[in-house]
Amino acid sequence: MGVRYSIQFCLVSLCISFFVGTWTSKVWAQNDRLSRLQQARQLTLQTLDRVNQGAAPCYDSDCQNQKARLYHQIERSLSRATPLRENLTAHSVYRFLRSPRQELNQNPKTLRDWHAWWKRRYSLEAFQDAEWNAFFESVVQTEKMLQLVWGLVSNPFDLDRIAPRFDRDFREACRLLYSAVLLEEQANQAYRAGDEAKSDRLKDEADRLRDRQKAIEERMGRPLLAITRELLPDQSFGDSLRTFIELDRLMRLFGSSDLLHPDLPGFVRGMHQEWNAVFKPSQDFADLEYGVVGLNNLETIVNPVVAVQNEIRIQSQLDRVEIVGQSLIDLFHYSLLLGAARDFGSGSKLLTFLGLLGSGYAFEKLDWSVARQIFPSSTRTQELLSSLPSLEERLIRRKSSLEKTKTILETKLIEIDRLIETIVQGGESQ
Amino acid sequence: MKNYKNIIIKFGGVCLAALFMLQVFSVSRVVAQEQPPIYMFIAEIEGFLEKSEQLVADAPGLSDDEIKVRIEELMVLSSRASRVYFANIDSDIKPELDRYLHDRLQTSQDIRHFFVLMGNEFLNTARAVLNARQADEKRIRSYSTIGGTVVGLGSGTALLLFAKNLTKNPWVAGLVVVGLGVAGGVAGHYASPLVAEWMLPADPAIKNADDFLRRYPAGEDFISELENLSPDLSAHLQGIEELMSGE
Repeated sequence: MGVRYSIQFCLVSLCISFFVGTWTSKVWAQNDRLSRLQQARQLTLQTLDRVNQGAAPCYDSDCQNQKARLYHQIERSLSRATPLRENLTAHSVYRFLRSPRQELNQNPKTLRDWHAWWKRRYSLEAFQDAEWNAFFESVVQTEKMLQLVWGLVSNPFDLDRIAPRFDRDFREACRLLYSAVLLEEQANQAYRAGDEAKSDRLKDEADRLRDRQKAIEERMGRPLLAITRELLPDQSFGDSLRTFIELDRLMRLFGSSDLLHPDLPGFVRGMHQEWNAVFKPSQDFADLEYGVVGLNNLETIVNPVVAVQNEIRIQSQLDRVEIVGQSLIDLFHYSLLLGAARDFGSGSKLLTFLGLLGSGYAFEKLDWSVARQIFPSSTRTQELLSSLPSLEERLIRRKSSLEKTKTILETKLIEIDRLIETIVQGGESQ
Repeated sequence: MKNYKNIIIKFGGVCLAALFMLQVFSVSRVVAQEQPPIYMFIAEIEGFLEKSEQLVADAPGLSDDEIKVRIEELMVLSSRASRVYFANIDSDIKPELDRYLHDRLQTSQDIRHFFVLMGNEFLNTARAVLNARQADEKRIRSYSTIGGTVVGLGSGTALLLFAKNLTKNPWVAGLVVVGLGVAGGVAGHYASPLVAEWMLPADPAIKNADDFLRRYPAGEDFISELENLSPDLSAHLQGIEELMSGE
């Protein structure tokens, strides 16, 4: 009897435990899901704020300390991300800490303001910015490629479709074409710089690569463009080529050419997370140093085009000051010449006049000025003007990006709110 | 006295008649004048845009040779547009031409790489204008020799400038600035250079239809990143996706 009651008691306890356990795990899962959705909502609102409001740059001591912490983070993460980092170093980041940028009055009024802008004419800021841009562009490009590849490998349907075509010939053709395009761009840059011999040499090399690529295409039976369009119809030719090249690079690091290997998604995800540890602090550093362009601050100096246009206005005025200063020095120089010419002409006014005229004409023709030898003209205005084209182009892309992201985020917010409501109502009914 | 009065009246009458005739002929000369340059310019640009869009639509079914013929047609149209532009470079309508070009480029971003052809023609015409002004161009030439070199300019941009009136300070003297820029320079990032008040892409290394086709195969910008989101935003979106999917 006692044994029967014990067995019954055990069975009932087991049933109760089973139901309680199921219910508890369901509640936990729901809470976990709810928590993730709430985090997603928070992130969506933060991103929406970033898209709309952007952010101003920051140069106070707290921000400088934050930048120093980010620099160390970037350095540490770069040292861990060895397979992907290639020759990247964080030196350009360090320069900003060594020579911090000054926040200048955009409407200079006092002598101090004007002096600060004058100092900027001879600063190494342009060089610093160029170095940083080169570093950040590399980080961003790698991040973009990893995002594209992750999008590919995380979708098993895409992998099933691509795997049969992702053979040795296809990969080789992609590599050859991309290398040819890189060489052609270097050739173009050499041509723009006036080095036609180097440009021709690079173009010949590019032609040889293209010939090899065409030979492979003939073996494959279809042009590369047609194959990439079929495999990745939503991407441009260039993007799909870069995606496949990056995928090829990661497969080599992975140590297998099997796109359907079960460990591949995990490997790519790991690589992406490793690189994210470089990308995120770099992006945060850029946000603090340069600000963030959003839809509502396009008219402010956070927009680099506006900042440069404003500075051109200020530097043009300083250019006039420079010219007046140089003219005064030249005038002093001419007056010395006048004295010398008078002595040389033995007091003859005609000889003095001719001598002065002749030397003035010679200097003008030779475009030579004593003042410019002593105080060379600043090239700040030229640098600013020359940076405008690329900044405008970047801004066009940024604005388009912001508008698209805003639409996506607003849709996501509605979806998240709906999911949260479903879970909450489901929880209440329980 | 009466004679003098008659002479004065006759003379006055002849003058009035002459003035009247002058007015009439001036008006008819105005009416008989060619179409204002702005309309000629617009016609060339619109023709260019239409043909570019047609090329993009037809490209998948065309051979490389057929595409090259179409590209050469676009180069001819660009050359005509640039001649109209530079014929009016010192006129009052220049800002209007620039504004129009700017607006059309902004609204034609999906075919902006075709504007490289136009930018190149503008550059060629600008060079011809510069050469024609050789005598006063020493200072200008010293700037244009910077063209293409990267040193000291960070972004690798060069400027081609020519002045309306040469003075000691070309930045002040109502300059017409034609800019040529190369942005980035890091492997994988190739923004097109820009010309004509920063509004047109240009690349002097693209000398013919074949060069253009290599850089922009099948009418598409090979290295275009126009459609992609900025990486900071796409990273955030990816994070949101992962949280929503529960990864």
